[in-house]
Amino acid sequence: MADALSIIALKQKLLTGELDVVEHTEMILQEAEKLNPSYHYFNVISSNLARVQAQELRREIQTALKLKDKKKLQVLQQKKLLGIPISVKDAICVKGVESTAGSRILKGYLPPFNATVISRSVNEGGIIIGKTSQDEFGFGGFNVNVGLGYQVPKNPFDKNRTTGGSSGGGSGFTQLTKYTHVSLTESTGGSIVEPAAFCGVVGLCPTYGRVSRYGLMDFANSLDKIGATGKTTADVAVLLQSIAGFDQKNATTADVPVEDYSSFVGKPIKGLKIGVVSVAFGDGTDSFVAERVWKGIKSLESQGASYEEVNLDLPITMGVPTYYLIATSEASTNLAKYCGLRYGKHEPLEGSFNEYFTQVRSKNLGEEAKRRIMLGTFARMAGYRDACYLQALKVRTKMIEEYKKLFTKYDVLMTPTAPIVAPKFDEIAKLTPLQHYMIDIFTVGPNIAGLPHISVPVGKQNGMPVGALAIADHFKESTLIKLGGALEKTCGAGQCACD
Amino acid sequence: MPTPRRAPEQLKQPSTRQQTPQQTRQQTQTQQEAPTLQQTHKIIVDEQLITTVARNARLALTPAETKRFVVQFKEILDAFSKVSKVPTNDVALMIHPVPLKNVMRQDIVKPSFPVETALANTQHKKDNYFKGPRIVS
Repeated sequence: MADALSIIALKQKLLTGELDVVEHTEMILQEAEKLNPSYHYFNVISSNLARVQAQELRREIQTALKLKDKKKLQVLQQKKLLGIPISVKDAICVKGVESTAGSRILKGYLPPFNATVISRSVNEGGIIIGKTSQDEFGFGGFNVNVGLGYQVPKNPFDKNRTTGGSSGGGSGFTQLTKYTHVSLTESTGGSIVEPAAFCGVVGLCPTYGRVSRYGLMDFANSLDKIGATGKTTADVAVLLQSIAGFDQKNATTADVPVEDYSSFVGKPIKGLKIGVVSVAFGDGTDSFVAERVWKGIKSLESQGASYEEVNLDLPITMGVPTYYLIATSEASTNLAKYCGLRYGKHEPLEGSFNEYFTQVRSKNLGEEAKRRIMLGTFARMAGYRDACYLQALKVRTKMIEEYKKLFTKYDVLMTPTAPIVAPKFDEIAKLTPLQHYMIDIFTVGPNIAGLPHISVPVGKQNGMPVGALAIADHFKESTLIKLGGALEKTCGAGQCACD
Repeated sequence: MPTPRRAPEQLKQPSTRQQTPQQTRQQTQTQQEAPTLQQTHKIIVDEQLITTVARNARLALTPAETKRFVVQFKEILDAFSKVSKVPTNDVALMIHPVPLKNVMRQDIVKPSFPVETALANTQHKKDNYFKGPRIVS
């Protein structure tokens, strides 16, 4: 993994003609094709689209170099993702490439438009190499709840273990590829950082509204965020900068200026105040995981940061039920649009609308999708709505207040990303749904509150990576990027000094 | 010495730190004042409830799925009901986690998808329209 060039380094080599964009793209496509039968990271490898995009860039680069056209070269230089291969979570629409959110109910759907993050990435010179595996509609923390007919991705360090979910394919491939690559991932309750931690890569989930959701297949509108996964914080910063910012097509994007995130990589962290959520390091967390994350925090202290142990109450004690009540309520209405009429899986037109609709859903949704639709339907039913859905929304208000109070004193809050390292598939198979949901315990809080958070590798336990989670106040992604860069100096990018 | 690796089924809610007497008082008061969801709503999770929810959700469950969901929903709702213990009198609902402004655009007609593009993904179409099942029995 450490051998791959950074985005900035690859871009320079492509622009000087030292490397050829078509050849580089071809190599990573071949690698993806070779790995996929055993690791299942991609639902679709979009070779044709990637080749067309690479050939177009090659023409532009070669013409500019041949004519020594400084103006054109300057334009190409300004493209943040020039020639960079990008994998895309399956829930994000790519024009003309099958996009199903990992569900059989959308099998065959070829979106007639690009999601905003795709348009922006391509405008910046990015090359879309494929759609990555995920839990069906994002319904899982281990990427084992894939839709009917899909295969479960395997951890790059141990094929008997999970990649984490729900953005498991993107994180797994980011770790395993030898080439420069970033992944567009998405989080509702922890789906960017959890697989990043389990696969030993960097995952950044931005503030809710920082990145447009236009073209994202909704799981839960008030919780979904598209973010970035990469081998290093520097790569993640470039991708985030390319996709962030207001979008007329998405009313929930924030009209807040986008910072120059890349400029924060490597900045000194002297004076950074860290609140260490002490409860996350005790009972319930693997002691090896706690030890690794503590070493990471100490390494930040050695670089000039200071820390204090703090108490975080509601997000830890009430986070999981609050999250699931809100998320399933929203999901249960969102998924109603997949009715088998306009796109995706169709059935013969028989019976009334309700009979047809019931048939399409019952035959084509997986069990976890059905369970979450049922939970959300229950939480919104007359008689239970006030006590379930509306109460959860009120608890959410109190959680945000609790976080905001802590951010008056601290720049970031830190916990392990997950209490354990990636578990084995046979261990996951024994879990009840509720036990399955508990893996989200440290990640649901920032997701409920819409706070940006990053997972950075801080070493390994018996060969399996451990991730440290840092949470910042709204729109303070730059603080997380600064922290991520500092952690990598001693612990990150698979080069942990602690190992 | 660090303890051995934790199995995933041992994942649990960490116990909160030592509470102040005030917090303990508040919690006791809360528990007395705010009974659980099951207590207030006398929810009986049985096949009848699961069937009702499934019908509302437009899902046809198999008998095996129904049986599984009864067991699972009992466990899940029991755990989730603790949310009702959080005192929330006079607390506003938070629909979105960050403040939002309504976004308006100028009322100008712009080209949209051609009909063929809009219909490209459907198998059920007739005369340039989507064709659906009958709505009224």
